[in-house]
Amino acid sequence: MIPILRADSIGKSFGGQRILSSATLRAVPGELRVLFGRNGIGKSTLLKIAAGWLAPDSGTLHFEGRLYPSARLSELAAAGLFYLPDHDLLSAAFTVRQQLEMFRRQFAGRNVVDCATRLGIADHLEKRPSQLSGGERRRSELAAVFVRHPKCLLADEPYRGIAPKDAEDLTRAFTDLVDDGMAVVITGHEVPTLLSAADHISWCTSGTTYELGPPAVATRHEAFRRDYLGTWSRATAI
Amino acid sequence: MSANEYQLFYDTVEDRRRVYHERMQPNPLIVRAFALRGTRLWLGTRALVSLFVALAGSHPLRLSAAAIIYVVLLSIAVCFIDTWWNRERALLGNLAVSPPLLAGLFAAPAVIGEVVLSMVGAAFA
Repeated sequence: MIPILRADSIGKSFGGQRILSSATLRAVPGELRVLFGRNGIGKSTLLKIAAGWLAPDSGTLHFEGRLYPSARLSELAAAGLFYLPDHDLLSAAFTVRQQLEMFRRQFAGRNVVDCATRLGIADHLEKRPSQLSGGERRRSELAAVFVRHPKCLLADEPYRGIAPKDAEDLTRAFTDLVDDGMAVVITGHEVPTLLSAADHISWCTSGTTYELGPPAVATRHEAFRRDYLGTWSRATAI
Repeated sequence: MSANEYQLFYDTVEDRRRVYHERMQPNPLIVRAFALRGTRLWLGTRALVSLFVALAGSHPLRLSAAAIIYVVLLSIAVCFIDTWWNRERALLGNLAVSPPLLAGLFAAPAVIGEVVLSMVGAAFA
């Protein structure tokens, strides 16, 4: 399948320190892709660049076959991208319903109550995100994705600070989105959860990315096992 | 540039123009929410500026054109700081609201408010 989003040969430095030298990111419709990598290795930077949130020093970004020489999130969002950052998406200044309504009206999206019910946050629609738990906030953000129904979702560490039960619900929601034909890319460290849900694994290390393929193949990659999975792969004997 | 390349370039430019014109317009709910915030923060900014002007012994409603421009710019800056404080950059980006468009939403109430105040100031002069 043709990738809807292609970030190629991405390079980025911060204060003279090279974070990414030649990294690549692909988002493919109907596929859940997971980008693994140690903390501070550049996963979030790569996702931010692919979302038009950060400008790369080098490399190109294509969305739906169109080159975006100086992409901005607002521009890519209009074209069908949704970016979940590694901090809260929804504003504390408005209620959850108000923000979901903004998405619905802006993009002729899906019914707010239906999507909130699907994510189990229907009772929290009149609350502000600051009144919700971490898991409820993540589900509210995913409700915004369901309402918006973009073509491509980039989610940076969506499992941060949530209970295992919420993580299960979140994973189910991601797979539902993929079943709807959406291209989804997630970063995270929740190895068992993400390996069980992913269609494709990418590994970010030493400023570049490696396309490791499906989880069954990726977990046989020696360097990935040694340098990232570590004792976990030995403990589970994958 | 060959005819095919020109057509490709033209199509790309047209596609992008169409995206901007068809999709980048914020819906009334977004306009209302952020214009209301612009109004609220302009009122606060203007009240503070008026207080300082009054303390300096001048008429708080009769500012020079340059001072009015400064007040509008200051109020837009305060609105952007508030947006940054609320960490709404990602929300606005995902809503396809670009920073220039947002600046326009914040500027509109400040400009209208300053025009009204100038008229009121002139009426009482």
